[in-house]
Amino acid sequence: MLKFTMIALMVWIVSTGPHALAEPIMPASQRFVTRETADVPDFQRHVIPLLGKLGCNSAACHGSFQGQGGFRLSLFGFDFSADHLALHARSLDHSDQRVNLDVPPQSLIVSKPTEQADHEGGQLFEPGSWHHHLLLRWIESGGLGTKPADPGPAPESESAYGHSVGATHQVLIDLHYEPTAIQFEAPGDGRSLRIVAQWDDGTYEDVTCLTRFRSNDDSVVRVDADGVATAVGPGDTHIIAFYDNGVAAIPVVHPYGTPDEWHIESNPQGVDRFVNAKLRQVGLVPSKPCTDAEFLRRVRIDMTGTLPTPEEVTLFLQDASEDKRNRKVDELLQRSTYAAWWANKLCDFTGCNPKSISSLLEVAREEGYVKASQWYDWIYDRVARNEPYDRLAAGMMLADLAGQDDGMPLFWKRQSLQEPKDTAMSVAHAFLGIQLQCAECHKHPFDRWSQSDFNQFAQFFDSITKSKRRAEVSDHMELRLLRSERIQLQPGDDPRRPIMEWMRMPDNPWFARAFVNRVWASYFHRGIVDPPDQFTPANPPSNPPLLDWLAGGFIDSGYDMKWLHRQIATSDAYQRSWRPNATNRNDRRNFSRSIPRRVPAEVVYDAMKQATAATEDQSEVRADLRRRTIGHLSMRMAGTHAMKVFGKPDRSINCDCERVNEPTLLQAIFTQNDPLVRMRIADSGWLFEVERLEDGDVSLNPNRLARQVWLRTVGRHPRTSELDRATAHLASTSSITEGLADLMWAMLNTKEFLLNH
Amino acid sequence: MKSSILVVAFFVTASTSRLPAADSHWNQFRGPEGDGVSSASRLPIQFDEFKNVRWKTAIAGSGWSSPVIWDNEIWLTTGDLQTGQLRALCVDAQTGTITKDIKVFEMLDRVVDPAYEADSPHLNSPATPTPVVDDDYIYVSYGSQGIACLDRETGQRRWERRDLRIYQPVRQGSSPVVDRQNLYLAFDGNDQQFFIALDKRTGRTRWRADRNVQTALDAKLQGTSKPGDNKKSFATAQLITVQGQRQLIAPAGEATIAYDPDSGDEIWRVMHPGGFNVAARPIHANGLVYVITSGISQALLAIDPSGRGDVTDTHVAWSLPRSSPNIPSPIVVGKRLFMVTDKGGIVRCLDATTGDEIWRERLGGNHWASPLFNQRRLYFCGKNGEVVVLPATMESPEPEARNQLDASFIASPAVAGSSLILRSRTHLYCIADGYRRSEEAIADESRPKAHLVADQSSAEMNASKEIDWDAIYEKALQSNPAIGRKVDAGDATKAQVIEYLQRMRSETGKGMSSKSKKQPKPGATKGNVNFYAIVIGRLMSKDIELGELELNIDFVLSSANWAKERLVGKRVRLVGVAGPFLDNLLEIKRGETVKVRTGSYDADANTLGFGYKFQVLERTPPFQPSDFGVPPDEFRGFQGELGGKVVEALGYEVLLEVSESKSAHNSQALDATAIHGKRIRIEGFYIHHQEMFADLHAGDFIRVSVAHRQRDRDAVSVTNVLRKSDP
Repeated sequence: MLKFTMIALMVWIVSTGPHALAEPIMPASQRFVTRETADVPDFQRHVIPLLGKLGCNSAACHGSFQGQGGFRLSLFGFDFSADHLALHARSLDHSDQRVNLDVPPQSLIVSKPTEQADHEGGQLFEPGSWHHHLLLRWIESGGLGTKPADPGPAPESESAYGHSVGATHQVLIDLHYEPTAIQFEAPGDGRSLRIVAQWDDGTYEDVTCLTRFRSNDDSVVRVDADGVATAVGPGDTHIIAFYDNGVAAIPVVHPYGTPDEWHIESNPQGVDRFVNAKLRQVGLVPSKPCTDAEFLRRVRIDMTGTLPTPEEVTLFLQDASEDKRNRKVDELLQRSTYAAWWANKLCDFTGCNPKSISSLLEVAREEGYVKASQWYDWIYDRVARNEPYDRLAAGMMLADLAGQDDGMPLFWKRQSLQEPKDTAMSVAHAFLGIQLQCAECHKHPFDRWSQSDFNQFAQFFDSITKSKRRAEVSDHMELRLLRSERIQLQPGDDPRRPIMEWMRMPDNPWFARAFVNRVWASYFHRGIVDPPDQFTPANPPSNPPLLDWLAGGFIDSGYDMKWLHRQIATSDAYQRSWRPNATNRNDRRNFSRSIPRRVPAEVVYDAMKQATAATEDQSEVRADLRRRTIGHLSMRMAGTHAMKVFGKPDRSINCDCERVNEPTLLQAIFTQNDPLVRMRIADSGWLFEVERLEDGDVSLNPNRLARQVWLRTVGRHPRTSELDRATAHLASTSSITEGLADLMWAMLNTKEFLLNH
Repeated sequence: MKSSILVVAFFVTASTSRLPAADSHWNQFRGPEGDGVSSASRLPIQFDEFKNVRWKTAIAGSGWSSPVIWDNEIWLTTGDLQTGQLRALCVDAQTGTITKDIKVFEMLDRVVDPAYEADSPHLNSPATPTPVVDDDYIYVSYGSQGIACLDRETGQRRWERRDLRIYQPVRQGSSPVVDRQNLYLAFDGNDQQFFIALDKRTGRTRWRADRNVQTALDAKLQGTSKPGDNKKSFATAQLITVQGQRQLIAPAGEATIAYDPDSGDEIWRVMHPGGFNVAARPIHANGLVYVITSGISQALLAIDPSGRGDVTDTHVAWSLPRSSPNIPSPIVVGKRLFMVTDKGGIVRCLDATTGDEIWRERLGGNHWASPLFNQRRLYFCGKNGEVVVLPATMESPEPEARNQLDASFIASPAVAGSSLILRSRTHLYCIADGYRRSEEAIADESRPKAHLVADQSSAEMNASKEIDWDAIYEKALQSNPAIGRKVDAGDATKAQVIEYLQRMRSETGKGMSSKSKKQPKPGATKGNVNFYAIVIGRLMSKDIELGELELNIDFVLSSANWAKERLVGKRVRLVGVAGPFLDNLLEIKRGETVKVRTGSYDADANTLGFGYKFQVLERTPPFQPSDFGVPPDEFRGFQGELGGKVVEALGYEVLLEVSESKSAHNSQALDATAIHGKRIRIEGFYIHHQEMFADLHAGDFIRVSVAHRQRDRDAVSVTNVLRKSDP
């Protein structure tokens, strides 16, 4: 203990952070080291954090909805009144008191965790430890609670609290930490963290001993309960510290090595400046640039959800010009398939679900699909003409619910939005990349939102959700907009307008970031914030300057979506090979190599059709959006076996995780056996074409035909060894057509076909 | 009176406008929040039988349940002690037309102690619990008589519970409460008292909590003529949230208990000895729960719901004995509480935080209906038919209006848009500003008569008049396909059609007045119409992406008589297949036979639409007329009894494999035995034997009387006999 304190003090003295202000109050672990102390612990500052740190109020223990052994605490400890009541209530059999003011040592809350009385949760601290003394002192001093502060406008806060004893609820201003970043050199290196709470009454207190710690990546750093971080292996991550409602994310970097060979251009542009800076910091050597064939197939899938045609591959590979990749990006951004695929993605983000927007009475006439198609078309048109993203978002956010303007009102009319809070969660998820689910019932320790924040945000959507026809408030309201500003609403106001105005402000922390991050995540299979819809203090971006620059540039460009796609797709970072080198094999968060990812469900479905289509149908099978799963079929195909197996989202929940891009065994069985795959090969226009020639005794070139199979499926020329095996097989079957069918089936079953790499 | 005719003309045009949106889901007892507060921007203040009455519809039977509203539908329950039927009605909020009249249950036998016989008929009705509507479904409760979940659109039942039988000498009063998962009901009878949560999707019991209330009164009443009288209660529970925790406040006899709605665990209880027969629904406001007890010690209790366990001594913030009502629930607005006594109609305004009385005002009359609050006005509906509108002011107010209707109100008022929906003991009113009923309408006003149902009793009645209404009904179906479509779609029952035909006949007899020429619109097969049918045919082409197929139709299972002519033997396109059904379509080959359920038919394009409910799209063996119950010609015209094995019992139709037949004297069949060993489709179980149908399963042996009146139809109709038999 002494040693730890020494280190902590030294760190404190050495640091010259901006917050080295008043001398903080000594930590509770020192003040309560002796039983004889006169200090009085505070319920909010000490007792509840201690119970939290010991895990008493976790969902597995007394924080469960049923409680445990008759004793129930609020989950994660943010309901001070209920917890205080629970502590003062008698135990289940009425024999003992949890808090015995007359004979404090007989209180169950000290006899249980010291195992002086039987405790299913085991011994949590030693008798005579500071924890023990702290709880005893609290009981001795009257076991006071926390008086709720100004109840504010939250609807439930008026509920009577008959035990208004103890200090008024205090507001944690900030949680300061030392050091502000950790740089490790070798496994086993250790650093002690010190956490200082800054309260609204101007006091500072060292709360390290009452803070909970978590490592975001145990393979990089482990952290113990005392806040001592130990290096495990190379990489970069964060240690997250939680105390009261504060969350601190302390960056940890442990370089992979000191690279001496760099393939990085000396003068990187755009996003590469920030990606490369981080790579240097973490000591990662990026992979080499990918091949032209890899690039073409990759960008075709990520940008347009479509495989390149064999001709396109051939022409691209023959093109010797320097700027052909940039020209390809520009060309693809003009294609209808770019608009189709990104309209589909935007439908994912905004929750375009036919079942949810069909009225109950008219579904017989396919109303749901018709409306979902209108929603899709509406977005498609805007993506195609590159309408600024903020205008697209405003077209949904502010849409006239009677359909009297050119907005898209269906977003608000979904039946899944039963209550204002459902609408609030949907808006936050779609446009801000924020998950509010937890705050519906309790404040989550890893996130900033309280139930009051959530309830006030939900109130904005009261009138819309209930009527689904009117977007105007009926009463005067003053509401806090997700802790940013207070909004005054007068009767007749459209409550969505101030939200949209706030989203459009350049300093809005989420609106632009959420979108650029989602687009980035689609190209890299990993967001700068990941998961991309979890912008929380405990989930910081892996590269904050990169996210800031990209979001800032996006806003400066006038929310130009094509600008954003171009920045990403033309970067060196995007165009790296998937082949790892010695340093970056384990890196998945710094974009040092391309991460192979399963091709999305819609693209797999369409790709199988494209690979087997007749030569003359190659462009139509790509361009006829009516028959593309990335196009209009997106809605109708949802729920089919193929879409379920490959993880197309139903768009029924607010989570980007609804789209599953992981490979599964069922996918392997699908590509081998499914009637759909058999049908694609049996009805293949291209194989018919070959068969007609073969039946007409036209002499065929097996070499050229086999090469076609590679170009059609994996967008490259076969290697000599592959070609030899293929032609050998074609020579062994009764007809070339039959051999080609085998070959096509085999290629549709390769990893290379199913992965974007 | 001349001027009133002009007014009529003017307002009829206005009647096409839609009802405004506020309170569009007055879906449960006392409205969206169960507190009697309406957020409508304006409700009518002055009205009578003429003025501001948009429509008035007679409601048969006896029911004190309050109307509930979902979009354009008003739902009510009613019961008829003569016919022994418990019904649910759906009324169109725009027109007042009864669009659905569903027989939910036949009453089960009820034993009532003589001690209650004198008071039970005027103390309660057979249909007092208010139904609750939740999206697609409506939940109706008749207490011990049964609970059912009905599909709002089709009227078909999703589930029912008739096993919750307790002794309720004064019947049930407590209305069901619904949340995302459960339907909650109180059963506070003389013999058993419990609170129960049912899975709202299946009706299965989620939890059940015995009330477990013991008081000194128990022993006192033992041996009297009304033992357990102190156990009865009639109150509807209220869902509230306290410090983030949901609570279900459920008053019982002599105690009010809060349960955890998820687990049924008791959170707290307040004992109120002598306070039973509770009828008021609790209200949560100002951090307090307001409960009004009745029985022999009536009181208004204000309970702090943050406690645990028995909080009688610790958490009753204040209580007000005696001056509270026995039946109507209170209204709480901000820091004010308003209530009206059942006897004498004394309105009190209290400080809701302390219970101190601010003013009192005597309205007169007896008040069983709970009051309504809207835009700073209180509405009190009396048993004497007077609706008093009182400003909710701080000082003793003067009534703003006293509206006398030819009515008696027990059900509580409801709100649809800016209309008041009032249910009297005989009628349903829609009170809306700017409307006026004509003198003629009032003169023509029908008093509700007993339900005309096409069951045995009405058959007897018909026989005595020597009019075969069944035959007229069948004829009407042929001559007017629109009627058939309505019946198919569940928009009308056979009973309603017959009632309509009877009305038409009587009106024709005395000369039809111009205003009642409301005939069903002709034009059966124009445009896109609902068409719920099973279609069987060979697959000619398919598009597994756009979800379309073409069928050569072999057979259509529908009672719409145009269907056969239009569809059978034709090549017809079907559109709208989506989702997993595309997988089914993928696996069916051209030339194979498909069975598909349709939802619509576009006559202009001769295109069927895929059904959207109970979806079916599957491969089936090649069509054999006998498999589908198409009768041989020799059998056509049969009347009499059939015995055999049930092959399929779905959608109120039975496919029967016939083993024996017994012709009636009027049978027209050339050879009834031609059906032996074959299948026949029997329909009409929705009208006859609806309840027993639920118990029919494939493999059962039954004896059933049928009539094949329309020889060209492939199905026969069930008549009065249906019983299970031995093989």
